[in-house]
Amino acid sequence: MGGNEFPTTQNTWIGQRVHEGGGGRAAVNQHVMRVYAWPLQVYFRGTRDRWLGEPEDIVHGFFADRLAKPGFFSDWQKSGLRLRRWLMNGFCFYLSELRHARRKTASVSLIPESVEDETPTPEEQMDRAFAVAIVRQAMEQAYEQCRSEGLGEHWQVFLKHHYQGMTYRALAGACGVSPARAAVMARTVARKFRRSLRELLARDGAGPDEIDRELESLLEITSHA
Amino acid sequence: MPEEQHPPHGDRKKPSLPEDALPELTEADATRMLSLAISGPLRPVDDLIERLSRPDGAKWLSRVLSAGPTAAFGAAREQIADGKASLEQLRAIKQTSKSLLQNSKDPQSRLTAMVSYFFPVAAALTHYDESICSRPREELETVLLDLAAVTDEPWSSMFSTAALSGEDAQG
Repeated sequence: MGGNEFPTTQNTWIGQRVHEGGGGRAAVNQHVMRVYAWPLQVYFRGTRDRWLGEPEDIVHGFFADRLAKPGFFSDWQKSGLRLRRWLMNGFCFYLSELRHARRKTASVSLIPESVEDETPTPEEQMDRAFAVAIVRQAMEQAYEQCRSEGLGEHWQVFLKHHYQGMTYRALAGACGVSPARAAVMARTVARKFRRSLRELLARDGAGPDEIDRELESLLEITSHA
Repeated sequence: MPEEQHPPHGDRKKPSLPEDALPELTEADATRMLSLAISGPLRPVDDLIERLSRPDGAKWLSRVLSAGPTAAFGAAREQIADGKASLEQLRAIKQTSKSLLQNSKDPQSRLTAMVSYFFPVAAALTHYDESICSRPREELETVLLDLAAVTDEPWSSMFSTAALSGEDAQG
């Protein structure tokens, strides 16, 4: 693979890992499966292809088939698409292939003639699922960082304030720290979470100047759920 | 809606996090958490926050505090952190920092000027419950909490106390 296929300005993490080959490529595949498996399953559930099988099996089949292709990620980079869109397009082709293969063998009764319109669309459902998946992944990364740095208490304060909505004053009573200290502890973890989430969006293909816009777009999608 | 809308929770057979560490996320949770990651326009103070958050941030700060306008009335720790400087002295340090900032020609002097601005501002709030700058309260609180998160003691406590001074600590 040529070194110019992944310019340093974009997709740095994925580009570098793929360029390493072997273990690097495995790390990329692992990242893709962790972050995008669930959004693709949600997408699949929203389509008329649900008769093809269990969402988890179908998505695993897609990953096994496509992620092994040598040019999969360099083709994505050339496309200029967000990685989730690239995966969704690839998944559609994969479903189409499965459909043709299964129609030859499936009994007619298994194949739906028509499916009622779905609202929201599978694409919208996938975007919502993607938003939840990357928040989840960023929280896991922030948690792991806190754990390795001995900041378990900070993590709890962050979670109770930003996730459960406890005020700093209430936290002070529950955790035995001052409200001011609780605010700093939450802030410390929030910085780690923010960094992780923005890095995950960069891996999805957003350039440094596009990340805030991408976040606003995901906020728009999830807030209208 | 999909048949099953449960968000992912790591590997279902072997959760990657303890239950009390990270509960399941709904879309409403994700919305709230996403908004945390929006950085907004870059503020000048972000350069200072970035500098302080580097591994040698504490040493760098110590050097700046002992040589910059913050040392005008004595050791910064005693004057600013412990509250020995009067309100007028804190105002004077802040004023010096403003002209330093206007005349600064390199990143290092801009950073020094920002230290000399925000440290007395925080000290005035902490020790005198007095705001000596005209920044909106909400904006100032955010900056002070950011500074508290990247400084060691006694500065971290001074900034966090300043950030929540005069408030009911709701946020």
